[in-house]
Amino acid sequence: MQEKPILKAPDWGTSVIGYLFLGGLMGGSAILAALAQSNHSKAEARLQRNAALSAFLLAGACPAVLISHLGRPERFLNMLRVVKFKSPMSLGAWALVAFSAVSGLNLVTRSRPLGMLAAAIGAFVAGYTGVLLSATAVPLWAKGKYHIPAISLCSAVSGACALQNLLLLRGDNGAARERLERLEIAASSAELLLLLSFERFSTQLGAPMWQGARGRRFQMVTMRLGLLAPIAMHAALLFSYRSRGATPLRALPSLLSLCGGYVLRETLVQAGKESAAQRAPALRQVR
Amino acid sequence: MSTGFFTDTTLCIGCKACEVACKQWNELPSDGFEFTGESYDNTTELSATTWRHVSFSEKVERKPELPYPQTRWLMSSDVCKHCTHAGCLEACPTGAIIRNEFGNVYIQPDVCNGCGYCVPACPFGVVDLMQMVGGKDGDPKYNTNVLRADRMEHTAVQAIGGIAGKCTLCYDRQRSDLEPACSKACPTESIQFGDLDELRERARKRVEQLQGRQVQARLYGVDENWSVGTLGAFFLLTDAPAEYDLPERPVLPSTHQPAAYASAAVAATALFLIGSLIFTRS
Repeated sequence: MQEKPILKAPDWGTSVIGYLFLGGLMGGSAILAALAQSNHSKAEARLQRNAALSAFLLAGACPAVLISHLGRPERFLNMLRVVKFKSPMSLGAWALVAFSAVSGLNLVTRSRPLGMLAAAIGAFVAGYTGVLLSATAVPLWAKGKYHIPAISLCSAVSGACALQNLLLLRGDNGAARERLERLEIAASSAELLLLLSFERFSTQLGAPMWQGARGRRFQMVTMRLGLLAPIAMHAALLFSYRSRGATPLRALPSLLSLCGGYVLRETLVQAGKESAAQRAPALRQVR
Repeated sequence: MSTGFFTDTTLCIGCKACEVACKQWNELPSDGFEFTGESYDNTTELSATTWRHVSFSEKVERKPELPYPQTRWLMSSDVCKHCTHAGCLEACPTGAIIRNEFGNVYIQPDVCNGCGYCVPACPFGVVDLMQMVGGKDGDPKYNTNVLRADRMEHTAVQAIGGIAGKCTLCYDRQRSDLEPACSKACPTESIQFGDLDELRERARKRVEQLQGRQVQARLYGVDENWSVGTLGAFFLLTDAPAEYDLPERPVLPSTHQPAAYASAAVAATALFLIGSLIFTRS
C-alpha cells in the first residue's frame, strides 16, 4: 500500500524546469558580458556582444515560458501588483522585468555601469531560483538551503560559458574561448564539489535525487558527462589552444555541459516532488 | 479580534457532516468517489476542492484481559490551520493571499494567478491548485473532469489555468454574522468556532477535565513556540500528532531564506571574483 503523503508537491513540470534552466543561462550570460567588458581584444568584444545579446533574448524567453505555465498570459501581470520581500517568487518576477529593461538598454548603450547592473540583476535571477526552492516545506529543497542556491549559480555560469563558447566556435576567438574555458572549469569544479557535499549532507532525504533510475541518470548525465567530462576535456585542451582551429570535437564539452545543466534542474524539481510525497520527513520537517 | 476553530477530536464521531456542509456552502465540486479501503476515509486528503477532511486513524490494541484485539479510532476533522505566520501568505507573489479583518488567511480567487508557489510553502500540505476552464459568461468554472485525475497524477491540464484553493473560514458567512458551515453542521460540537482567546481558554479547561479522567489530552497549535506561530485552527489530540497526519513541529518555510540567500551571495561573489581574475589576466 502506498503511504499517504502529508505535504503537497507543486504541479511544476517542463515549463518551470525550462525556466530554471533558461533563467540560469540568462543570468550567467549577463555576468560574462560584464566580465568581457573589462578587456578590449577583438575576440572579447565579440564575446561581450554575444553574451549581452543572448542575455537580452533569454530575458524575453523566460517570461514566455513562465506565462505558458500560468495558463492565461495576462495573469503574469498579477505578479506586478505588489513587491513582497518575503516572497522569492515576487522578487524574481520584478528582477526579470528589471533585467529585460537594463539588458535592453545595455545592448544599445554598452555603458559599463549598465553592464555591471545587468550582471548584478542577472546573478540575482540565477540565484533566487535556488532560494525559491529552499524556502518551501519540501524536505529535499529545504535541506538544500546551503547548497542549492550556490549550485544554481555555479551551473548558471558554467552553462553560460558553454553557450558562449559554442557561439564563438567559428572564427579566430581563441583568446576569449580560453578564458571562458578556464572559468567553466572553475564553476563546474565548484558545482561538482557542492553536489558531492549536498549528497552527504542530505543523507536519506537525498535518496530521490541520487538513487533509483532518476539518480543513476543524474549521476551519469549531470555529474559525469555534464561536469567531470567537460572539466577534463577543457583541461586537456587548454594547453593546445591557440594552435588549433575549430573542430566539431570542440563543441562536445559545451553541449555536454548544457545537457547536464538541464538535467540538474529537472532532477532537483522531480526529486523534490518525490521527497514531498514521503511521510516521515514531512512529519519531522527540516529545520 | 481573531476568529478561528477549536477542533476537539475527542468529540468527533466521524459523521463527515462538516465535509458535506463545507462542500455545499462553498459550492465545491465532487472529487469523484472511490473506496480507498483505508478505514472509513474515502476523502483521503485536504485539497483545493476539499476544505474539511475527516481522518480516521485506526489503532489496534491488545489488552491482556481480552481474548481479541481492540480497535479504536482517532477521528479528527482536519482543516487549514490559518497560521499566525502563514507560509502560503508569505510565498504568494501576487498578494492574492491576505489576512482578512477576522485574522483568517484568505485567498482572493480573482487575484490568484495559479503560480502554485503557495502549495509547497504550506508545512501542513493544505493548499492545492484546482484547475479551471472558461465558462460561457467568461467566468472561470471548475474543470470537474480533470480534478480527480489531476490530484492523482499531479499533471496540470491548463486550458485556462489553475487557482489555489483552501478553507476560507467561511469569510462570506462571517461577514454576515453567521458561523462557518462546518462548525454549524457539527452535531457534537467537536468543531467550535469563535474568538480565538475564548476558544483557547475553553480548550485549556477541556484538557484539564480530560486529564482528570486519565485521558492523555494535549492541545496542538496553542502554547508551542513554533515559527508558524499559534494556529488559528487548533486541535485537541489524545495521541502523537503524527497519528493525525500532523507534523510534530511545523516549520515556516521562509525561515530557510537567510541561509539560502547567503549561499547564493557567497557563490555569486566568488564566481565574479574568479571571473575577474581570469578575464583581466593578459
